Amino acid sequence: MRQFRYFFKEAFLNLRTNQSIAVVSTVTIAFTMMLFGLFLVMYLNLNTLVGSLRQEIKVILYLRDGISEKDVAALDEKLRSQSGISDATYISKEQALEDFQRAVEGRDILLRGLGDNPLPASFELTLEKTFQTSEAIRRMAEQLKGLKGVEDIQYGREWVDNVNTVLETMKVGSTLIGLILGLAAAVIISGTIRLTVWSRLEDIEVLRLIGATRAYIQMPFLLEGSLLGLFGGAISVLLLRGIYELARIRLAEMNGFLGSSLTLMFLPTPWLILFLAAGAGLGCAGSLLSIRRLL
Amino acid sequence: MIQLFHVYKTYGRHRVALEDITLRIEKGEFVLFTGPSGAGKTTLLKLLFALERPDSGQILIQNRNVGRLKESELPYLRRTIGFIFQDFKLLQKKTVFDNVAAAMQIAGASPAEIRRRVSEVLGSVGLEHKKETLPSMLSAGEQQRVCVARSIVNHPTILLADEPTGNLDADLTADIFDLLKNINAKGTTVVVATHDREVVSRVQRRVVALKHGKVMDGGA
Repeated sequence: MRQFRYFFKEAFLNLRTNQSIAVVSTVTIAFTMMLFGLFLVMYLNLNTLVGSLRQEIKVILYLRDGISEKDVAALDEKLRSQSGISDATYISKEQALEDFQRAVEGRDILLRGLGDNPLPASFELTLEKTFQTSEAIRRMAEQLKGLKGVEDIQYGREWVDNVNTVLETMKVGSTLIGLILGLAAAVIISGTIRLTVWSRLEDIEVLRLIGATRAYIQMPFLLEGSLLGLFGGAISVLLLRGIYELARIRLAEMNGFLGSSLTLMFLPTPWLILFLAAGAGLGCAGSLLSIRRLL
Repeated sequence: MIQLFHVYKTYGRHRVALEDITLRIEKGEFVLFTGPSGAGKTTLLKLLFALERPDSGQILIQNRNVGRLKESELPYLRRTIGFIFQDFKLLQKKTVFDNVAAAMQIAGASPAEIRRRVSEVLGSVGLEHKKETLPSMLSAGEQQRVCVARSIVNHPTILLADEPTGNLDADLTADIFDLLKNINAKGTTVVVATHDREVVSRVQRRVVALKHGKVMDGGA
């Protein structure tokens, strides 16, 4: 504990001695981490948006014309017992026509020439969360197709595929960018620490001569790197928050104009803590890169 | 306390620094290594302080074979041996107090213990009034006294000094040797390397004369 006080004192002293280098590297780290943070915020919001859109994924089972009430009841029972389906709503031919008429109200031209009700009866299926992937939906559709009375099945397969592809790309992209930017931050910190070590080589030699262990000599430099990473991370969070607030204002304006109700999320507290810890960790790793070679 | 058996040390291929050194220094002794430049005095001290390793031969300090100590064990050996350097080797950005305290901090002493002991040793070398001064503001003699204070602050059993008065005038040289004698009188084994014949004749202690890396007189 006593020695930790000394390590912190030395780390702050090093930062003060090489103030300008420390400021430049902190700012560089802040911008690097901010870029990564932007990706995280984008990913988080897209993930949330997709999550809510996924809840709207529905599979529609169109039924043959002339299907008996008994067959509809049997089908209803079958669908409700099917795993992966959380809800099944029957829409009769009449109901379908009513819905259509309501949807095109005011545009009577669309209703002209319909003649007899051409719309089929259907079942609207809501899927459980784990079944909301394109593969699961495809497999379920294959099973349902063979059921008695089922004419056709419709689901937004392409839409599901597209959303999943975008999400996966975002996930891989942010991981990749995170790694590259993380490496860049570690290299920046490593350079800063190397300068500090060089400027203190004589002192380090003296400490060795009076019985300091390797860990005792290295610890202040590791702390210095961690502090640089932590400061950089903290500044990047402030910058991110600023950008987030600006984006929120713009989105509110857009919502007012389009009548939409889109919202933006900022990084939740556990993510922020992890983000800052990652900054400190990167700083420590960068520091280690330097001192392992020099000390 | 200190034993050397057939120690050899060569730099590069041909420069023989020490050749077949066999030597025994008893606990509480005051020994002077003398000889001209290049005789091997400093190399000998470096071997005793484990700054260098012998090419062959054994070095025992307090029954520990220094040549066989692992790199990670050396700091602990150095905490039991004080070393006074010709060029002082002080931390230039630290005050006199902090320079001396550093050796105790490294050894893990408590702040209260450090305050008490550092004041005590600074008092014994006559520098307590300069404890807040930076080394650059001190004279060469004062800097050497800080170095002495730092070397004894952890109560070492052995004190090594490499040309401790090499940069000092006659009066300051006498001061430093008086200090070393006092330290020796309290039981610390003192080994000093010096080429100054005047000092050797004035100190009147055991002399080990070295020439071309060999013990010419006063060995074993």
